[in-house]
Amino acid sequence: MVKKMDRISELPKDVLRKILYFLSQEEAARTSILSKPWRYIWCTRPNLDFSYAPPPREGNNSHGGVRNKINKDEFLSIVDNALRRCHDQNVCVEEFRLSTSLGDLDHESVSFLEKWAELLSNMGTKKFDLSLLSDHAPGRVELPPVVFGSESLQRLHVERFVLDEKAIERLVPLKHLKSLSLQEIVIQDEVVFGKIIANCPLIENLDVQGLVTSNIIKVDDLRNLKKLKFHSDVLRIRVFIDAPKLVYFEYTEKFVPSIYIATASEEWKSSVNLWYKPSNDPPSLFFPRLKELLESLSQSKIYLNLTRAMHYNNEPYVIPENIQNGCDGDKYVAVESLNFFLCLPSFRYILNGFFGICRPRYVVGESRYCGDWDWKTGVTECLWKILIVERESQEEWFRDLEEARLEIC
Amino acid sequence: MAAETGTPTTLTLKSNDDELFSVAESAAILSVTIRNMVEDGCAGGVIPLDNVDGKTLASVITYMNGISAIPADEEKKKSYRDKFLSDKDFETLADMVLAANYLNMSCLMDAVSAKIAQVMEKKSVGWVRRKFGIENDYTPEEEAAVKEEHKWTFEGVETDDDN
Repeated sequence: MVKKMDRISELPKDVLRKILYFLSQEEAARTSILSKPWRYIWCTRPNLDFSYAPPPREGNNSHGGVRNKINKDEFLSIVDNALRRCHDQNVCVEEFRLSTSLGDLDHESVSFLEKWAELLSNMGTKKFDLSLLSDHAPGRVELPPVVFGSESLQRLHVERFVLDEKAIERLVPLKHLKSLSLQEIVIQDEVVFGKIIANCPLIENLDVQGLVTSNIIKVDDLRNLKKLKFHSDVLRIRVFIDAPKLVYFEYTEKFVPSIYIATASEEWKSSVNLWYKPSNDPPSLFFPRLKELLESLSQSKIYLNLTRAMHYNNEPYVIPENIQNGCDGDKYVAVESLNFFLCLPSFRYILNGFFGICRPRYVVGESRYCGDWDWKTGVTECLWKILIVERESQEEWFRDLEEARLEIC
Repeated sequence: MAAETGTPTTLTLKSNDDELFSVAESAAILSVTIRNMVEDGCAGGVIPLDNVDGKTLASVITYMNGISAIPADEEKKKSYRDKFLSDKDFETLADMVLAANYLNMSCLMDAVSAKIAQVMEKKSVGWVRRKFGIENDYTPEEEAAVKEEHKWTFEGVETDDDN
């Protein structure tokens, strides 16, 4: 059989688009150099993926490393050309990923976003993954209303924006949205947050990190929610969650929060990471508050991490003797693992404190002063005393201990 | 596919070069085109497939039988597809992808497209042109302009200026 020349270019456009679907955005776009028939095929492949990394902010190198070969204007026009071609040829972009940044008063980017969101919505795209980063420090740039007005959204990540009434003035039901990540944001109040949540009915992942000027957060009626991560700076925050399918809950902050979770999941995990600060949770209240929190999470496998030494200004702080007051009788919450930062002077009190409110399956103590032999010897001595020497006058929790293993390395 | 009790229904498919093939209906309806014909009651006699030749149809039927014999296990199905396509040259793949497109068999379409894409992956423009016999019909000026326009796609790739 005579080999036909250039069979690949003769394949129907739909087939070529499908082939390009399996290449990276760069490789797909590079096929335009092959020959004239290939010039614009990549623009209409079913998945488009555009990413613009902003130049590093002044005095902040964390976003350095990635440098764009093109400037923002070129980037915007490449995205615009591709989407216009799809529109003109009546091709639906099934998956559209856009990652870009917004400056203050960046009207050009915003007007392109407006146009693209409308195009995607008109062509029926259901997988619009948008990642928007503010060029400035958190709290300076307002999130443009077009973002929460884009009904095609499947995943949304916004970082360092202000979310106020204006940001949600065009809010539509986001019925395709599966994942919402709000990072380093400033949310005006719980009404704004509540309205957003109420319009994301099928969301599966929710990750919120930022400032809310209210101390009550309600996450209601999220029937598909599986993962919820919450990082908040608000003192004495109270979080109410109603999510029947929840399998993972994570809370990270400097305060012991009040959390109420309603879920029908039989097996779920909760991870509580506290940056302990005595000025936020006075010593006399820390363990009672923590106990309340653990009790409200007791249906889950709890992973508890204390990521700061329990001392302040290098002064060891002594947990009051009456810590067991936080415990009502013989009920101890089971905790999968307890990970805390060791501080020698208060080590024993802390251990007592935790055992006064819960029963961890594993306890891991950490110290950053790993090379410090005095410290290691100190902890070892202390544990030795508790476990061996004072067996007779043991602490109450000692009776529940099944196994103690001491590894010194 | 749920195994049916009793005698399985068999369909007869006819290629565009008049070869006849028997295939179990449960396997053949992987093709949405054939499934629609069956549902519309047009599958009584012989189903003519005007856009597929006998050699390609034989191969597609091998795939239909093979993949439908595997229970719902995506891993196993994937490894079957990989093995099935592993020894096919580009000519055959091109025939298969056209057949899959015509027969509306998304799983085969995806697998063959991915296989062809794999050949192009991480290759220079010049290499892909030679491999597939693509004629460069740009003038040098035009090509330079297209390259300039797509310089953003050359991140971390050696520029190739071969012909």
